[in-house]
Amino acid sequence: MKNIWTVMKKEFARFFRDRRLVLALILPGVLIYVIYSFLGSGIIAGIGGTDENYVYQIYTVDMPDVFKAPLEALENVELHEISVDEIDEVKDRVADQEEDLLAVFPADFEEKYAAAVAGDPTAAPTVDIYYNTVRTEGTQAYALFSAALSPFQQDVTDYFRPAVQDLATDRDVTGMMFSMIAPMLVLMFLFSGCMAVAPESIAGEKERGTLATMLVTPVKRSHIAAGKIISLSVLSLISGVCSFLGIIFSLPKLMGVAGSLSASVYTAGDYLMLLGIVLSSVLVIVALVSVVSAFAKSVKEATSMIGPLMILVMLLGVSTMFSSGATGSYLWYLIPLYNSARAMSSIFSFLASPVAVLITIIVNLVAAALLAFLLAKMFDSEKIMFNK
Amino acid sequence: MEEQTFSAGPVSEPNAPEIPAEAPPENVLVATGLKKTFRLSSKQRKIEKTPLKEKIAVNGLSFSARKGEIYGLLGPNGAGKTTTLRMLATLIRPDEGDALINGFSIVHQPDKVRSQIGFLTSELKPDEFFTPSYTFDFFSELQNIPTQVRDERKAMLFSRFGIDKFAETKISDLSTGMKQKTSIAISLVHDPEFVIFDEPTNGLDVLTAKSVTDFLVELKNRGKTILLSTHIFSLVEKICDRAGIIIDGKMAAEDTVAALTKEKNLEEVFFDIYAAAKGGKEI
Repeated sequence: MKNIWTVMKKEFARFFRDRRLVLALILPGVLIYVIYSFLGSGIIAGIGGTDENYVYQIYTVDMPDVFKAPLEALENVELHEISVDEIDEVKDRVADQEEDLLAVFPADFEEKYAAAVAGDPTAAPTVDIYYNTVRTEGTQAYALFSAALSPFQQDVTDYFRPAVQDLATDRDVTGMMFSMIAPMLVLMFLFSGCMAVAPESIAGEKERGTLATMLVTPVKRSHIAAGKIISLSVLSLISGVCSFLGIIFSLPKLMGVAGSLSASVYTAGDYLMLLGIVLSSVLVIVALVSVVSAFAKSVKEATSMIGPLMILVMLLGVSTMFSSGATGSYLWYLIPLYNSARAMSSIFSFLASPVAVLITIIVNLVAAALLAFLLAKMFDSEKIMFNK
Repeated sequence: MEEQTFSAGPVSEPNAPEIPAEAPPENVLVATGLKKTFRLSSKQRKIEKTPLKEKIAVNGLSFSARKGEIYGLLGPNGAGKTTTLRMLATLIRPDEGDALINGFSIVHQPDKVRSQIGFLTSELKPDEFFTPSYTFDFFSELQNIPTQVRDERKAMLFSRFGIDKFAETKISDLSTGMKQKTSIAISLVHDPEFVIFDEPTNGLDVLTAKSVTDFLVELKNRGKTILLSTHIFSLVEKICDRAGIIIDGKMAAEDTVAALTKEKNLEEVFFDIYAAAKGGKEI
């Protein structure tokens, strides 16, 4: 144990005495927060939103006054009634993204409407609406226009529909958001944290010949492997936590749900389970990246070999977006890292099963131990350590 | 140069067999039938222009080094010197044969062997990010050296090599000579009985090279056994007691340096042995 601690101290000294490496550990988290919080909202507004003072230009043909009333009541809508002759010209301008929307009502709209209400469904009038989905303002104008028309549509189709009201609570919104996104983010950031330290510590030391200096001491290979994996896990965790905090603090702004998203809806028990999963996952990830790094001849080779592994781990994280993490057999929890994604998803959506979490942690610890054993064997392999 | 004895008091290595004070010269190293074969990739076969899929790097090598002597290992590039040293340092395992270092087998007791040897080769480098002092402390800790002994030993070795002024300077900022001296000091943190030096004066200026060779003699005078691999014939003639000449992985000649150089200098002897081993081919 003393030797494991000695190796760990050296690894910590290597990273914490080097300002550049310390920066590399914490900078991603800070950058994520800054970019997503301050620039992210601007970018999102640029992508999906419009100027709040924008006045939508809606052109209408033969639009009955009864429909105009709700639209005219809106401050950000300007209606232009045009003649049938102008339809083609305005349609072209809408297509060219110069105007927002054109609505063409049939001349006999009111008769048809009356007939439909009287019980003749075939008489239901058709309103042609033209807008360009590429133009954000067009899409927004369509949304406003449809909202204004919807009560009438319900009457026509004789279909009772209550006014839609979002009944989701803040807790539900938080749970849904976190369970969809957080598992992927946690795995991704733990992995990128590990990428910042493990290839340098294993492949870098092998490349520079400094690892071999340890191999000629009486210290057991397994102790060197354990010392490296534990210290790299701590470093990866620091980096991962920095990145994770960055994204968690900027997530409300990023997702445009500021105010309704709060991490306080989770209990101490949830956080404890989460901690267990994160700690066991980081051990597996570090051990996995260390094994690949030991196999590589240089840091460069290690980084390129780890690339596909990162995609795989990200896919495992993404998998929870499309499935319910809480349901299904416990057998799923026997797959290292995938079990982490599932278990995290279940915690975030308030459906955590302590048994599943326990299985996850045990399976991950066993996987990490097996990989550490493999790493120790690799340290002992002349083909791997000295094959240039 | 100021002469200093390198002794921080006898450190009892837990596994070292006790040696009686009046014991006759004994073999610290006994290598028997060492053999090591490497697989050649198709690329390597093309480079070496051989159809063979395997290369015998070391072929049944047997030799021994006595306590308190400097044994010189000579041979051309590719003769198997480095492979032999790596096997003795337990970095790679022999396919056949074994070697006993202070009575411990490199095949069956590699951990014990590692506590008995100091190994210096250009392939093993200290992490240049750290200082000589930190690196010395780190390896002392791995070798289980008590703090007080470590500090005394560090002070003596650093003073002996003039590293003390640079003890807290990053190794990357040191000169080539100072780096090599640091490597030597670090390879001796545990005051090993048997020291393997692979080309210790390579790339050093004459002054630094002299201080290193002087130190090897000092170590010998203190009863340490040294296995020295080198290309420099004059160095072997000057400081080695015995020498072995390896050609194509086999021991082509082995004797005391005095006996080998009875009629010709070592360089000429080497060429004769090489030509004989190659079936009279010109070099």
